[in-house]
Amino acid sequence: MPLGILNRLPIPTLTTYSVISAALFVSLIYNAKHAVENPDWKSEFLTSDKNSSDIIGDEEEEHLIDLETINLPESIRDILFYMIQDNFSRWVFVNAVTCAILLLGRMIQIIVFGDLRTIEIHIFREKLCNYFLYKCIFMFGVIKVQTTEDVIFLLGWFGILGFLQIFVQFSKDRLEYMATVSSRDTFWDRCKIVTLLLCILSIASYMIYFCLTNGDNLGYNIFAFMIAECLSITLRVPHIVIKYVIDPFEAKFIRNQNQRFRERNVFANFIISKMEISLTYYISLGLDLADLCLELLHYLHMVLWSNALFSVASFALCMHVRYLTTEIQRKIKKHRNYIWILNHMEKEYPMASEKELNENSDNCAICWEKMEVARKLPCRHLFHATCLQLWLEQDTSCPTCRYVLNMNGSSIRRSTTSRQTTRGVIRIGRAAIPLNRQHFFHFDGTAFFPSSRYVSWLPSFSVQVMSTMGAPELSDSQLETMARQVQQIFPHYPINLLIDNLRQTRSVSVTSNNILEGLLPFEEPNIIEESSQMNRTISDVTEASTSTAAYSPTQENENISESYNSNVNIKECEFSSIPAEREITLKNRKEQLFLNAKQKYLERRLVN
Amino acid sequence: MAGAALRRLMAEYKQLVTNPPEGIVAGPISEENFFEWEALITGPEGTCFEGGIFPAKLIFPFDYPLSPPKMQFTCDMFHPNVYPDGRVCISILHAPGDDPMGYETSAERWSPVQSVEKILLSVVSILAEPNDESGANVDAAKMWRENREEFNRISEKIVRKSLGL
Ligand SMILES: [Zn+2]
Ligand SMILES: [Zn+2]
Repeated sequence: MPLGILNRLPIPTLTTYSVISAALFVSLIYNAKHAVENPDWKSEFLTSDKNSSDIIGDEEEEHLIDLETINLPESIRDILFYMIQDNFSRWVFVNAVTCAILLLGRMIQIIVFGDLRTIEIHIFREKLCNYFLYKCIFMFGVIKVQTTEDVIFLLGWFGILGFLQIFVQFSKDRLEYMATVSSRDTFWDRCKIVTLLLCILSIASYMIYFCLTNGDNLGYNIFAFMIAECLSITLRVPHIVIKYVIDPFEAKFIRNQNQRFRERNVFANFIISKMEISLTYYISLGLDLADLCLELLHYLHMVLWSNALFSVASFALCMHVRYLTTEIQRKIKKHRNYIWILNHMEKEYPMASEKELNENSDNCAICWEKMEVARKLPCRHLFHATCLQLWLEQDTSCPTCRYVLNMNGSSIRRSTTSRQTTRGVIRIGRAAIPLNRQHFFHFDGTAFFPSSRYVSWLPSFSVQVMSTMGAPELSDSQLETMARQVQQIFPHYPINLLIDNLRQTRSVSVTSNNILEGLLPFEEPNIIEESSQMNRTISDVTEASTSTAAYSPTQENENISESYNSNVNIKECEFSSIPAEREITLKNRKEQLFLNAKQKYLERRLVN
Repeated sequence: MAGAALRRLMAEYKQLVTNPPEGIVAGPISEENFFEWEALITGPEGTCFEGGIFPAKLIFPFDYPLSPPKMQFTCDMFHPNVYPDGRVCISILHAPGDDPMGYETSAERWSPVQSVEKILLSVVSILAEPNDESGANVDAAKMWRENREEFNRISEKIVRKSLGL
């Protein structure tokens, strides 16, 4: 169960891990230095090396030669040579390199991305597991490596690729997040991510170059296996850059230009906007499809090469191939639907005339923005062409009045509805397991029998562990602050009694409930006094409201009905352009709503 | 197109602040993420939910307003149209394509002309008058029909809890 261990591998152990591997590495160097001092060591190795070099693959031989040609002081070269020869020290060396790569990755992550969001950590772990699994299948199930040298070489190769893939994925997620979710200005963050992407791109191209120059030694199959992923990275990076960096800037530019040209020629700027849409659309579609096809070929190649149709490995690979083909079909279907709707709109829904636009003073009902150009539906409702296009892709009625649009051509119409259903399915999938869509190695767990259960339950299991650990014993000071909160509402209760009860309930609201339901025995004062207590409670709440909501100028001993009028205060809020101010205003409004409701409730209880 | 979603949500937020409907406060939980909102809904007067403040979370899809948001109460809620886990089941929150209950006409479902304000107002209206055709919470629907007194008692408790009392 490597999956389970990996899944629960906590990231903070990186420090301990690096300490251990550093210690191992240092001891190895010390050992090597010691051994090198013996003058006969090289000849010993070379004799033993003669036997093994027949078994070692071609690519490994090349590597050893590489090492000798590197320009290094003799002693260091000797040490390196020694370390690569001995079997145990070789693994220590690999471990040290892995650790260094991990630390480098961590550093890049801190510099470029800052703190990761929880979802990103989650995606990262899932990706790592998937990648590891598929590479194991590839190495031991498909090409069936034999020698340690091959294992190390492939581990290194795929390690670097995995490293790049993960950063590509991180960049994509982060750029998507910045483009869609966050409202803050993110110019510098974007620059950092783009630089990282360019670095990744150049490393990937170097790897392609390496494959091409060493292609003869590797043999065509290994060559194809090795180059596929590099190519996919070189396709993916430009795609991301175009989609999330260039596209938004271009859109902004075109919008500005639209505004400049808008009086002159409505039709011309309509064409400009249309060209812009179709250009980025086609580039993005093309790269998407190319990436998918490449992956499909890569996996098909693996299936054919592995040659054992009924092994677990080929089963897993076939599942992935199936997933890829459906994905490609879906993309193509979606594209055909898009083109059809585009043509349909052009034919059936005319551009709104200048007069109609002026008569209709409303904004576009889909995006709530002003309409300079619009298309008119038969029910005389106007929308932006792009907004309408996106809506018609999923429904065939007018958004405003639900007039059912007559989309003729039954065969194509069927494709529209079938797309709807696939959309629905996808939407559900996204809601239930948001991570599933972002696999770069989609793993259909249901097919891969022994590990399927672990794949599905392990992540949720680890989450559960975390949540049960997060309930520590409450400290006395915490209890006291909670008790004071309760006392604000029930001032006649002694604080010791409240603390005792809170120790059991651990919650202010539960204790308050207990009091209201009479579960906390306490010698009640007589009824008149209690009602006065209630009054005091209410005025306490009012005081609290004046203290928390600083902007409402309420006086201290004001009566209840007056404090209701502070409702009016929250009504006339300004919408600030500064995010932090908006946050504060929203928080104040929420508190105000709560306090008013509380007062009203207590007052009602008093009346009854 | 996600930029469009962000602009639209900003416009809605602005409208909800400058011209808020009675007893409703809604806005993004954090300015960092405009696709997750929290809404506070006051229980309508003259109903068993009167006076309660019910917090709910709204999750918007990236293609909003083409697809509807999801809404989930984050407090206790016992209501025929609210699932036991707090998810709200009303027809305008259903995408045009899917129809889990199989009874709605497409006219009642989501369309881009709907908005956060309209959603929250319809939730207030189902608090006042549950629609017992949709059985999101079968127990609650049954109790609403057959044992109104018990239903009122439970909702009273929920109201009190929602106020932190
Ligand atoms: Zn529009
Ligand atoms: Zn219409």
